[in-house]
Amino acid sequence: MSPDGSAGEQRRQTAAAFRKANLKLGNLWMHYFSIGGDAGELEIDAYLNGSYTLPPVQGDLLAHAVHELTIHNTDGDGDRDV
Amino acid sequence: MRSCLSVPLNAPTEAGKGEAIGALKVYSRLPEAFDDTSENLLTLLAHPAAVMPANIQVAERASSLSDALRDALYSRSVIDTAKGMLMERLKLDERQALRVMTDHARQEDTVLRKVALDVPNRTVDPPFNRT
Repeated sequence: MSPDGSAGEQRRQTAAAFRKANLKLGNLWMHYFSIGGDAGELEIDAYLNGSYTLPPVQGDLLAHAVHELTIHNTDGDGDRDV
Repeated sequence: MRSCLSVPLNAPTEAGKGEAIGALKVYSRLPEAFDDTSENLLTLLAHPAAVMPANIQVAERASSLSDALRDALYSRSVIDTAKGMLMERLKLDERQALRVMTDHARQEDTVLRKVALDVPNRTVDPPFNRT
């Protein structure tokens, strides 16, 4: 997540990290939801595929959710194992 | 034992046959005890036999989903509370308060939930107010 980067750039980075980590959408959504995300799973899917725009806070949260799932290897259901 | 016949236990779905969740097997002491009729019969029996284990699997999935949801709701609440504290204390908007916590989490190589739990101790506050 780049603090001042454009929303489009953030989206591209999030989507790329999501694909690279081979995460499941359902796990990502649950983790995103657990850290305060409000968008639904379908909206997340559309956002990652470039056909939906999320509010800035939601984009930040989703980027951070991908980061945590990738770096901390949580299981996507609320980091019980952290 | 000289013969064995095995058919899949398919989880019933609205669309028809679902994934195999097990197998129903019969054995015989006689060689070549089973023929096509036996197979058809056992397949017929396998259908109702699959219902109970399939229901148990659904119940277990629901239970583990409910655990995950409870955990997620607790985590959300912790993070929301911390976000509100930072917004008030540091006069930040929602996005800025969130960024204070996510930046801290990345610097400390930890997760947002743990950072949020530290917010009341003021150990998360940045040395300067971000804009």
